[in-house]
Amino acid sequence: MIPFPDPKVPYTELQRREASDWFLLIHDKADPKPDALQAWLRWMDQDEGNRVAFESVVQAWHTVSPSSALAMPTAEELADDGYSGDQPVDQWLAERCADAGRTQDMPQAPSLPFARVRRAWLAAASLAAITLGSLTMDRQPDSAGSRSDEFVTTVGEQLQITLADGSHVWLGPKSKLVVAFTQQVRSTQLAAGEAFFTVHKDHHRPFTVRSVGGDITAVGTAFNVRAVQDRVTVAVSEGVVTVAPMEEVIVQEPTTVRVASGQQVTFTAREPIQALAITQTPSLGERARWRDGVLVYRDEPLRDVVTDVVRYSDKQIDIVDPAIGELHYSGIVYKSAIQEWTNALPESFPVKIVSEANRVIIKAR
Amino acid sequence: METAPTPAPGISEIGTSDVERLFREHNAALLRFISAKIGSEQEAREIAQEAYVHLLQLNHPAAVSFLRAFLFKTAGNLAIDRLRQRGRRLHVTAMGEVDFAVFELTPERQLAGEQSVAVFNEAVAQLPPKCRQAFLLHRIYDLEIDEIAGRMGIGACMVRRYIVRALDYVRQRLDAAGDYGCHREAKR
Repeated sequence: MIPFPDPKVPYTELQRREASDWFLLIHDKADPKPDALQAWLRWMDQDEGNRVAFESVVQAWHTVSPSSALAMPTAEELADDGYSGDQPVDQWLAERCADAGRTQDMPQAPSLPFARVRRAWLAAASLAAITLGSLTMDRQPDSAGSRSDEFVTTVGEQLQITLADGSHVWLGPKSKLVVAFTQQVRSTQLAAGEAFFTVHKDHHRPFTVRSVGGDITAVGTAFNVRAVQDRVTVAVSEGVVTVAPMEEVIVQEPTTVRVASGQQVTFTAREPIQALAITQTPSLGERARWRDGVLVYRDEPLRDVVTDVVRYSDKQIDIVDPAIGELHYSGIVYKSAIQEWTNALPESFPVKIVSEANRVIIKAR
Repeated sequence: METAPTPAPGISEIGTSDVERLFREHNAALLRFISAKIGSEQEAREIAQEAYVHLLQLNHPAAVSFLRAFLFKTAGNLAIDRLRQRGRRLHVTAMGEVDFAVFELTPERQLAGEQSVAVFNEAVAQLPPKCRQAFLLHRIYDLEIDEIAGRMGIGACMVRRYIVRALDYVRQRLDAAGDYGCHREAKR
């Protein structure tokens, strides 16, 4: 049942296990004890298989991917963990697999999780995990679709990420970016918040940002994506991107719009994209100034502005009157002076501000 | 690396012959030791050389046994420094119960092929949760065994056992995928 030992592998399972043991001993400390070193070297010289096993284990240790599903287990998973380390992991998996087969009465032959999956990982690429319209990543540890990276920022936090292909992402506060690269496509998903992308040119591997309401595809370009509720704004500062709406909003034929340098487009999941105008961005890269803590808004609903500002604020800001939220706002908010900004709102809008300990309330006057 | 300093008076006390002897007797072991840490023979040679330079700069006479320990310790520290310089930056953000790792990796630093990386990731994802946590905290978050033990609320012994089991499983999966470590040299 277990595809081992493989005659092509030049060491035994025992040698491999011992090699892992030695490796941790040698690797763990800058300064291993001389007799431990001696014992290790003796073991290495005892048998050619020992040496090869050890070098292979070193190689395994140093196999690390910049865009991978190296997610930590969740609290639930940890609480549910019965593994004591007494048996090798493959045995543990095989037993678990057998248990699952009994309880779920699976018709097909139980497949070992570590069966030769080389082709399977390509076919069941992580793209499968990101379905249209679904913005919640299901992180099931055993599903083949979990091979993706999640980058999550908290309030006020920004993150600069260099992806495996050399592309660069500047992730804004309270944002979530999921990266799932395969050999064919560079797929990302902005599940919340805002990000500025500088994409490394590769015509053979399109770079796609899936967002609420549509896909943004870029080849060698720089652009900003901001998602507020179900409204997405894409501003391009270099090159061209295409924006394709979600399937469910396509009325007749699929339409994509091209957004060029100096332009921006706003779309939602509710309306067909062609109904929305592409506008020239008055100041190139204006939107991208959020990276310096300068938030620029032009003629945007106050509710969206507030939703965006809150990502930088340690206090919750609530508009209790829906009509107020529909008012349009143009202006600049500095992330270091959010309280001043809310306090000044009554000067331009018919509102009053109520400050609580952890909350600012905007209501009709 | 800087050019090797010319031995100043105090330095000759160690004796170049002692260092030569050390080199003859322990160089192979030292290179193996550093290679294990850093995963690259070329870099291991560079680090070894740097460690010898450090050794020559010691200005107190010392027994060879001390020098030997010093050599390995210095090499170990240099290897750690270099691993950190590789541009692998790590930020840990607490979001509820889950930690998210963020990497800044320069692509040319990646030592393994995409296929191996995929097998590695898949193997890691299959590890039992605590085993995976211990492995990732050590491998990715670069925490010491004792720190991991404290964080997970288990003994250091258990942490080691988890990491060894995890590493063993990853290697097993790489073997099963036909990615034999022994072919490494031939591929280059």
